Amino acid sequence: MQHSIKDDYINSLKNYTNQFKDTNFRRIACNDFKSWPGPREETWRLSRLGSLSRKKIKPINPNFKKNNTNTSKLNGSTIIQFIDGAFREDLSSDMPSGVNLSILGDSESLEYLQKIKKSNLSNHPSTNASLSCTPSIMKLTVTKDTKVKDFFEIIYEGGENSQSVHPVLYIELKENSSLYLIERFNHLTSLAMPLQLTELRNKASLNSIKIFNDYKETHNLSANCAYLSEKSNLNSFSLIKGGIFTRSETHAYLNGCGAKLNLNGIYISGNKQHHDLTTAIYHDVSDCTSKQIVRGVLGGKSTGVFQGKVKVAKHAQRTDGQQMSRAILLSDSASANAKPELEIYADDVICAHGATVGELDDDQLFYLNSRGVPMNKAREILIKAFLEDIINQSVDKSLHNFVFKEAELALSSILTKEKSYNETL
Amino acid sequence: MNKNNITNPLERRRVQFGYSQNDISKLLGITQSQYSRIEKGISDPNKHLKKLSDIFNCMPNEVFQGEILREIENDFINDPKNSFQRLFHKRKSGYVHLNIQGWFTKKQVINNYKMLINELEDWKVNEYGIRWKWLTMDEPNWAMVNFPKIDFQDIYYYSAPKTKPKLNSLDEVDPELLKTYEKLGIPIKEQEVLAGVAVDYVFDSVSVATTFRDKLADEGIIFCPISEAVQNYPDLVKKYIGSVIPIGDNYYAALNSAVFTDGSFVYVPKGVKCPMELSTYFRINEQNSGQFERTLIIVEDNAYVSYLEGCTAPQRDENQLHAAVVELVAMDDAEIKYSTVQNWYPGDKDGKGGIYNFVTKRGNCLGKRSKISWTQVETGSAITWKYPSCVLRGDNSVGEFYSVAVANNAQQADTGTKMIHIGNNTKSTIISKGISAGKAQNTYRGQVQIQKNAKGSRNFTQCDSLLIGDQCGAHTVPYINQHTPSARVEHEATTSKISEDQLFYCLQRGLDTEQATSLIVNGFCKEVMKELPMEFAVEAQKLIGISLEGSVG
Repeated sequence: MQHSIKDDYINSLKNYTNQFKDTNFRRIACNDFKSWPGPREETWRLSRLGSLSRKKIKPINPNFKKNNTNTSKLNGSTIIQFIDGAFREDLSSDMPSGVNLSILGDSESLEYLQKIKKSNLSNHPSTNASLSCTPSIMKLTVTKDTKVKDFFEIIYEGGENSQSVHPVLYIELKENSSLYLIERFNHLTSLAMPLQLTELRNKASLNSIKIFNDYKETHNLSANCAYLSEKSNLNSFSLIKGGIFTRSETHAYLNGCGAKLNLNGIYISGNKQHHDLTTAIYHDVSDCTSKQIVRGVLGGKSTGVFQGKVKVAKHAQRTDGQQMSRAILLSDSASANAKPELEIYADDVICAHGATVGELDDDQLFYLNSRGVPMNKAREILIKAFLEDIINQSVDKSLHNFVFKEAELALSSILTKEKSYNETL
Repeated sequence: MNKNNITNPLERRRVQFGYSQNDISKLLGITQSQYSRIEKGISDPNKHLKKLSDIFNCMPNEVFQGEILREIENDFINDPKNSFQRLFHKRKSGYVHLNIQGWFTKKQVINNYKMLINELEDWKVNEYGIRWKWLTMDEPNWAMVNFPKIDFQDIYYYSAPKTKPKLNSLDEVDPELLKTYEKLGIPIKEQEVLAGVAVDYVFDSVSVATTFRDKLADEGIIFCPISEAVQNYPDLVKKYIGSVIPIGDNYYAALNSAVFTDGSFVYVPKGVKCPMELSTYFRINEQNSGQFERTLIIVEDNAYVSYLEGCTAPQRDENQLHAAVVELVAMDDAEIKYSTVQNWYPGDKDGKGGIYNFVTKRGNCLGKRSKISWTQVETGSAITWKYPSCVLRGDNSVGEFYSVAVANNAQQADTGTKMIHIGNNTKSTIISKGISAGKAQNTYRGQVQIQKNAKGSRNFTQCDSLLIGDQCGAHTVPYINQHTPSARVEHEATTSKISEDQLFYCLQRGLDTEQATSLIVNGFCKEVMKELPMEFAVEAQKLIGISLEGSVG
């Protein structure tokens, strides 16, 4: 039975793409969607899509009349609004000078597809499904030497039960430009498959914050691919807290000497949530730096996964690759998996990774306890400190409060649920 | 099910060969229910008769007759050694020729093979219940190693040394063999005298000599070839063999279960601390033959044993397969220390020849407060595929894994460990040092799994890699699966090369580059080396020096 339902999604993809005749990239992508990745595929072993493939899901037909957005915007930011996976010009702000937002034509879309297919994301389900069903591929370009001062806020909303949304984005930062981007995923749908390709030209700098806060029954399979040229700089921070199943997969290719990459992330999971942060960093040339710090807090029956791969190619000498992942388990039924992987073919490198999984440190708890802080409060303080540390490192100062509040919201719901557990201790 | 009660001839034959319906249906390429109908006589078997006769090693018209061809069986039983020679005249086609019956396929080699040797085989089939699981499995391909596909039809599954296989003491061993040892720098006699080591020598497929047996027997310790243990202590062997590593555990373990003929067996009774180091030397002499030995060590409550394993093989242009299985069982308060210095022939500079070392090793900490410690120095083999693991079942049990893996030239090593924490307060330590030089690839692959009830468990993992030269690779693939909050898992890994400062310091003090490298490498491995027994540590240190020769400059 399961088998036929799996085919079901492929068929609905095919039906959907039949609407668009003569669009090569959709046809190619649709043909490449073979099936959902099974547990036998190494990168999906820890994150299984069984429950998803048993659901009946169809690609959404975007409704351009919807305009009820519930996400409260940040002050003074430039808004780019997606509803049902489609860009909504009427709800978005005007672009400042030096920034262009456009829809890719068919031939450019084909190029886009080829660029994604070159990466290791070529078989990711989001790649193929989203490219075949997206309403349009949006391209955000920052022209040469433009330093954008305001924050850019991309808000993804909409979607309905049993439907899948497919926002596809192409971000290009030309030479010597910079941008600060905040992406917020607030989908109400069963399945969200955002796909993003980022290209940073020489000396470009992109700061990006992704907040995954989808509806509690949403599967979010986000796929990101980034190409970094010489001396470019990418600072990425992801906060995963929503959805029943969220997997943020990022593949970063360091193609220019002196490129710098920070890929930090936090996952806060409760109930039966499954959160997965998968990254792969490819050091293809010399003198690049990559850093990764990942923290997880897990309560309820949740599971957390961190898979990080650093691959250093043969001639990528003087590479510095650091990776650190820590997870804290708050409940008996939570579990954490980590797979930090190093694959190194060059000798003059400094690569290290560390991973720990455990509970809060007894000594620290005792310290606070002995100073009159009750156990619950002490735990809260320690967990917040555990997260605040990394937020401070990876987020602009003016956004500290905003990001921290988002984290706190998720945290408080877990902590109240774990309260009874704490008291029994 | 009592196999004597089966009246259906085909089913009887199937059970006799240790197959399940599923296995057979897989081999025939049909579904199980289809096969079941054939067996019951509902479906027409004609289409599959040829294959069935292949599988059951008989003429097509005999498939539905109950008994295996008596004639062959008797021949094997009456004169096993010679019939063996008759069987294994290898031909260029890769098939094995049996005078009596004609050409044999891989399946048939295995099937015949079981009738060949001695009671061990009967026992393996009848009591141990080996099904030829191996034939129904696929070769694993997840390890980061590359090698041409092994032609399993082109391997001798059994070869006995030309000397008399069972000897009472070392003096009776062919002096030629002793010479080979000495050439390899393993002066057995000297070791015996100085360290009082009891040694079991396994040459090719047969255990040739075991020393100090009487002395050990006084203490109640059993140390003998496993082929003897099967005859003399069948209950013990039966109880534990396959309990740690089931037959179908993985492809190579299944192969070993199907074809193993010898190996070592150690049993240490309650409360006995084994007074000397037990040791086995494995050696592959014969060209084209694979070695499939099996080691089983059982240590009862409060007992202790330290076991050393050394491996060598002469230079050959062809790749040879070594697929061993080692099972350890530790009861309450018992301790097992298992050390390996592996020096199989690694192949020449361009990667021609060398041993494929595909070994499954696993220890079961069954009792409370038991401890199993693996120490390994891996310098040889063209390809190493080896994950000595601990299943920490008893509360408060301890697992340790110390490893140095050196890969030079075209060697490939994919090695590591698994620590499965099941009992409360179990602890494990993993220290892994990987050194790659030349064009070698060295991978650490390890898993730490803390199961739900393993409260208060701890794990510490450290894996460091050292790169010498810019053609080699060092990879780390750890898996952490944590299911209980009160446990703590820590993992750290670094990769670096020998720093210029360290080299400069040594050179300044008059060492040449090679000496300096060797010195630094030995320093890098010190944490592991100190876990090795004395006499092994010296040998291991030398080995590392030798295997890194020519990697600098």
